[in-house]
Amino acid sequence: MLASRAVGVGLRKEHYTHLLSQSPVFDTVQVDWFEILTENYLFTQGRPRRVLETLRERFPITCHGVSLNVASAQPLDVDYLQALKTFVDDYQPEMVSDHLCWTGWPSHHMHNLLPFPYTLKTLAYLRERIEKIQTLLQRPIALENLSAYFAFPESEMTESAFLAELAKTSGCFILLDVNNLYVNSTNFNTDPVAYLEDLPVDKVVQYHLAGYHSQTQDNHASNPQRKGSFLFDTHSAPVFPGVWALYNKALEIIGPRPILVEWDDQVPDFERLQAEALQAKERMCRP
Amino acid sequence: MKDFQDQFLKAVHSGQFNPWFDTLLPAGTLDGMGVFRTYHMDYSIRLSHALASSYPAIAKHLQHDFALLCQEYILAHPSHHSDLGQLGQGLEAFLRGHALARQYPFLPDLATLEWCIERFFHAPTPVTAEINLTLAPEAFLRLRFHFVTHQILPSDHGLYSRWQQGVRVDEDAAVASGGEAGVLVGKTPQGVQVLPLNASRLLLMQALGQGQSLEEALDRLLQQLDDESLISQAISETIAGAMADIQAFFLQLRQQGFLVAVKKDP
Repeated sequence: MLASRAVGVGLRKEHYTHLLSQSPVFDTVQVDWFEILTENYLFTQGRPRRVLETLRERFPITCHGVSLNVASAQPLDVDYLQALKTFVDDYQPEMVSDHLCWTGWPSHHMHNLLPFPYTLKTLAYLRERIEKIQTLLQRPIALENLSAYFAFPESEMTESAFLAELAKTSGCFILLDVNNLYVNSTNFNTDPVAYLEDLPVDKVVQYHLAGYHSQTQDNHASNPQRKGSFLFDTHSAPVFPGVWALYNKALEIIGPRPILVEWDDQVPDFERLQAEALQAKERMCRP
Repeated sequence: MKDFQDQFLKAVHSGQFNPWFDTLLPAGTLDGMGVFRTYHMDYSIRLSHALASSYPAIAKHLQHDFALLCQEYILAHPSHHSDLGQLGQGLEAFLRGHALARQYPFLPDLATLEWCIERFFHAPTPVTAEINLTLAPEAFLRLRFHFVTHQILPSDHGLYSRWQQGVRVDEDAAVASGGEAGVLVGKTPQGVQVLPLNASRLLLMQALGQGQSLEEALDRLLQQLDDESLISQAISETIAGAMADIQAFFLQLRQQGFLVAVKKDP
């Protein structure tokens, strides 16, 4: 189990050579653990697995996936789950997590994290699926709140109420992505502090931090001058001041938890990424 | 839930706006069209990046046309696997019937090579076995060889040079393409390796791969060279040159770990 003040970063292929070429290997690594994107290691027997095995000898790992597809209207992907079970049994990660979303259908994967309506019906539907997944994996999973660019008028409750109830009744845990919360609360003009207060403290097991991008988009085909603006979760930038502030608030309300910095696009060198993660730890350890 | 997911999938995949998006609560100052475009662009970019990652040489050769190729391919081949890396599996077949292949005839062969590299990258590292180097040279000739996971790709399109041009950073450097008959790709203990094959190297690889000993393979090669060199005024020089090249190539195969085991001729 990770210590409550542990800090980690996502393992990215851009850093393989740097990490392995140190003598001894991982010599300059100051983070406590690495998170792997599950799908990048699940379907390979090549170099990524060799790197993971070397890393696993020295550091705890957590598995963070994007294909569990808990909110899909289609049956669970048994092949994926079996592969995940084998992988998890082999590598014994400290935690297995994915997202509160759907990502496509078996015949058509969107490879994107997509929202769904928060209703009593979907709550019951997800609870049953999560229980099946946890039974198969023989361990609880954690689900992350996602960033979304639309919501459903038919939702009967807030995302935080839905997530809280789901965690309480299914036995799953919550991975709180502070950047996603910031992006959504800005985009939908909602109160992020109320969101934090809704969550059951004992169910939140990890924080994620990342960077976003302020984006514009054509709204109308007939009038390209009319742009819409919004915050877009890109994982391509340092953590922004507003997100740090919200993270401080989460520390006040929920308390210290293992914290991880994600950076997936325009990935900087490892030292830069690590510095960002250590800054999160420093904030967590302030009196 | 099933209906909305079905509508969403179809709209975002096809790029055809569905008025259903106007019924949603959009982020920021987006409207329904803005939401639709955000997800459609993100989907297209994400999948195109995956194809560019599997096919870097083709992406570099085609430049702007690669983006158009990706759009067509994605529309015809929705992703069927939770591993995005599998998306490009059908690109070679797709290219064989595509107009771009008439403009650039080397494209399908290059796609075959790049997908082969992708597959081998994710293959397990082969377990090596000591090659028995203490044998006398004449005994060595009668051995039969096992190769690591490999594939021989015959091609008339200067495949190795095309691939090198696509993956090389120094764009101005000249790439020799003369005499290419194919490419050897293999997963050795040192990683994925790609070697050019001229006609005699291709023949040697095919013969060894069929279980012939080095001696038998060389005999076959000599016979072939003899047939091809009848009009030459310097048959012996041709053969000597080819044999020296084969010797160097065989040494290279051993050094780079393509040959992982040896067994004696029964």
